[in-house]
Amino acid sequence: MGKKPVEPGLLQGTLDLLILHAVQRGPLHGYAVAQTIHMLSNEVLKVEEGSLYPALYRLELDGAITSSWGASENNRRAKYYRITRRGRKVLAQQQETWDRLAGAVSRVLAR
Amino acid sequence: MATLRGFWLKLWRRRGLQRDLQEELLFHRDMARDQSNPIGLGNVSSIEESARDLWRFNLLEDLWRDLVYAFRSLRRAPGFGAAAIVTLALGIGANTAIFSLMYRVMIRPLPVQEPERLVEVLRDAGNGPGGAQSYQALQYYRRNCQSCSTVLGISNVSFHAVIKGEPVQRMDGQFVTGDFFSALGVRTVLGRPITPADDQAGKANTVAVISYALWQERLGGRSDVLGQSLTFENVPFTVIGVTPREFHGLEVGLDVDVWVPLEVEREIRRPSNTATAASKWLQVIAVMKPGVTFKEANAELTLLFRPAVIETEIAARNAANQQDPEVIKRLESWRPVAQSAASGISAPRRRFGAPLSVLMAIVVVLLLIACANVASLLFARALAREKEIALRLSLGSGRGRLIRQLIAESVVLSAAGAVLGLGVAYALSNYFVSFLSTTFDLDVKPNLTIVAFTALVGVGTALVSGLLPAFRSTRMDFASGLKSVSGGWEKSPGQPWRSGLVVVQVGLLMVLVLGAGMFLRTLHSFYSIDLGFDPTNVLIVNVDPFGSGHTPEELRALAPQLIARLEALPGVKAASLHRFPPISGGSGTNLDFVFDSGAARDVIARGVYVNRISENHFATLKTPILAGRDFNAADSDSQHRVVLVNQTFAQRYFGQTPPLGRVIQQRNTPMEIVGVVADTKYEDVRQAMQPTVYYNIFQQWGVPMEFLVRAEIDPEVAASSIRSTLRSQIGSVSIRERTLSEQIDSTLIDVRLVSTLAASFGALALLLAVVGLYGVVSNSVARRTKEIGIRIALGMGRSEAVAMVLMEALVLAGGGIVVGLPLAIVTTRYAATEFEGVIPDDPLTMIIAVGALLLAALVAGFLPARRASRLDPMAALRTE
Repeated sequence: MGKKPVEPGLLQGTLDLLILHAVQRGPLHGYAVAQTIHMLSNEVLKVEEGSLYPALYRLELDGAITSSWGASENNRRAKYYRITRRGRKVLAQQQETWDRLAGAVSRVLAR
Repeated sequence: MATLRGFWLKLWRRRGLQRDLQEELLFHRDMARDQSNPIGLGNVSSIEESARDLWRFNLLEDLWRDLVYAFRSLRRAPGFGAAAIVTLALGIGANTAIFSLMYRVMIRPLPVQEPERLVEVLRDAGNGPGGAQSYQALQYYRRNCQSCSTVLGISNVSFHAVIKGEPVQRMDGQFVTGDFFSALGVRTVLGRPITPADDQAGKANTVAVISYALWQERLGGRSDVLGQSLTFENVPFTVIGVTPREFHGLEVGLDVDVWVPLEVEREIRRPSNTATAASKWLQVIAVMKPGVTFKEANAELTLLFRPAVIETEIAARNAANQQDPEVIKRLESWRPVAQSAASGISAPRRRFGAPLSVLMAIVVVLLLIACANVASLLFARALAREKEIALRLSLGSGRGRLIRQLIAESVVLSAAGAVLGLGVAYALSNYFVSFLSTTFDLDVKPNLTIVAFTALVGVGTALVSGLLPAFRSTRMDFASGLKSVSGGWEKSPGQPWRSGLVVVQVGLLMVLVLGAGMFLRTLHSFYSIDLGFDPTNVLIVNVDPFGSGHTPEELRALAPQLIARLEALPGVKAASLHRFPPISGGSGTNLDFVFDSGAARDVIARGVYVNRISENHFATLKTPILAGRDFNAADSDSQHRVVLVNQTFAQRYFGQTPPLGRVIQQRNTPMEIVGVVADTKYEDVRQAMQPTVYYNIFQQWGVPMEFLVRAEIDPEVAASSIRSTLRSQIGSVSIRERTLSEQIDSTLIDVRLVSTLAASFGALALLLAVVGLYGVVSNSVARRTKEIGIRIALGMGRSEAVAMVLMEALVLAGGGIVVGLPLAIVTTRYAATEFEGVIPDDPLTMIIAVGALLLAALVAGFLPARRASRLDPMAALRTE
């Protein structure tokens, strides 16, 4: 039941942060999560299924998001993820950590 | 929080997981395709796997898989499985059975509030803690004990009870102080308990609280039982309450039916026991105040002992003009003892504590022997799977994983053994209870604690029997394991360990066999002691005339006629009356006698045993009258008191001169000695012959009457005609009979219990050890097939082959004996100290025990030896 290290490609922990950020605005299905991240990053970040779904399942186990089946925009059955209260807390924390880290890195590189 | 949530999610949703994931991925890819999205596809099965991994209970599921695997592989080896499970079931069952007895008798806390605050107040008169207290001592404690919230007084009584319209029956009752129920926190399920207001001296209420069992079984279980009247000793009592089902009083082994206020005793008994401090009839239980430690309470009770117990009795004796320096000296030698009564009053614990502890030790050893057998079987099994294990190790299977799998097998075996063991235990404990039933009511139905104990023993058993084989058999050098061929020269890696196990087993067995031998020999010696009488075919017939309408005087007048009727019965040889039967088992009377020795001062014979008997008592017992005469009919009505004395009395107080015609006095009543009889044992077969004086029962009459009847036929058969004869003469009276042999057996119950069970468990252990030894020796013969074949081919005789194998068995057993004998001697010495009359270190017993073990080794070695001697050398050499 312990946490496993997050995906390669992205900085450790960043994928969780991105997913939580994506779903905080409203329920999304898995594909939409990937699309949202892709678009919000100006098509820089690509999240593969192989990373996305394990991350979604783990976040659900951790209680940061919940899921339920619903109808998609093209009327197909799709699983929608929405953020929980606990998820918002995690998001706030991770965002703060990320801001500190990013700030620190840019400060180093600025010199 | 999150982990708990995760746990539930896993539990609830894991079934749908696979389907969900597939559907979700399908949807994802459809969407991607529809929108010709550049996001790449991953490897589907690896996604599924990593998602599934997240959702698994890894540890639990692995364990479950191991167990299922173990179960399947055991089903493929049913013989091995059955042997191991039966062995464990016997071992675990024996442990559970003894534990459940021990739990009931010694450990289980009483169903009362804060049982740990109960302290039993006893004394030590030089023979261990015990003894009842007087009413006056109780009152002193109640008034003065500062560390006690109260002090309870309890007295057992067997009531002659009448339920409206029914014949007289006996009920176990107790007189209790008015605060008994409130101090113990025992509420009534119906009505109210006895209160201090019911228990006022001189104006006590004749009210009774009854047990749940009495209410349900004999009074119909209806709520209108309250207010109903029950008659005890001809006094009507009103039922005011019913106790909870689980409350049976404070004494283990005694199920009390009714409780009545202590002060009522004055209304029932004449003279009352409350009259003098010389009557000691109460169990005294102090209830410690909250916050008081046992140590503090004990210190205060010790201080109070002298004024409460010794001084009240001296005062009472002064008042009654019974000052006797000897008695006072004896009183002064008493020492106070306080014992925790959290598990109940300690009388049964004192009696059965030692036997149960010894039996517990025996069954633990038995279980260890059983474990050794199973471990040996597991070694053999690991050996058979040597190649499989080597292969798996060489293919990179983790050793930890393999060990876990092997232990899972032990767990399955032990679990099955424990379940079966519970059944074995229930049967066994019922047997024990029937063994003890004359003295003891015990409920041995398994409860949660006992099941938990069994489970714990099962786990321990799995570890003890499984760890060593699992570790050893996975530590092999697998290259050689793969290469090794069956029937080769090499000894397998498990073999020395199995031999070691057998040595340990035989060593433990030595302890059991020597112990059982010691108890059996002791028991045999008890039964070969000369009792001074012949107990075969003798019946003790107790006639309680209560409620029959006969007065004691009428019965006295009828008695000679009753004896004549009984003697006239076919199959009855002699009949007589007595107060106490021979080997009375602790009951009896001791009195002081004074007589004129011819010297300047009177001689006082102290603590002489006394019995009251009729004419022909000694003829019934086949004990010879050595000098003078028996009582006769003329004595019975005469004012001139006559007595018989036994040989020890005559020799101790009169030396060589025959005492016939001499006069002794008891309380100023002169009595003439008219006869001297041979010695007989009085209380217990282990006791020395005691100086004894016999009164004529007709000169000091009392009820109930007890007959001693010698039959020429089976006494059980004679009993029914005796009953009907007595009933035809004196109507409906309560008659109970037992044989004199049963009476003797009941006094030896502790040694009988231990020796019977030690012998049975010892025999069982012997069987297990023979099986274990057989396994090891036959395995070694199988492994050495080629070697033996070559030797035979080279000219070794058949008998030499037999000798070679038998020698191996004997060496193993001999090793065990060398290890076990010192251990056995130490432990039996220790056990012997717990029992009266048991003597350890008997050389003959040791020789027989060692001989039995060597013989067992020969039996175990016989089959493998025969197999070795019949080896066809050519076939043996060809074996690969």
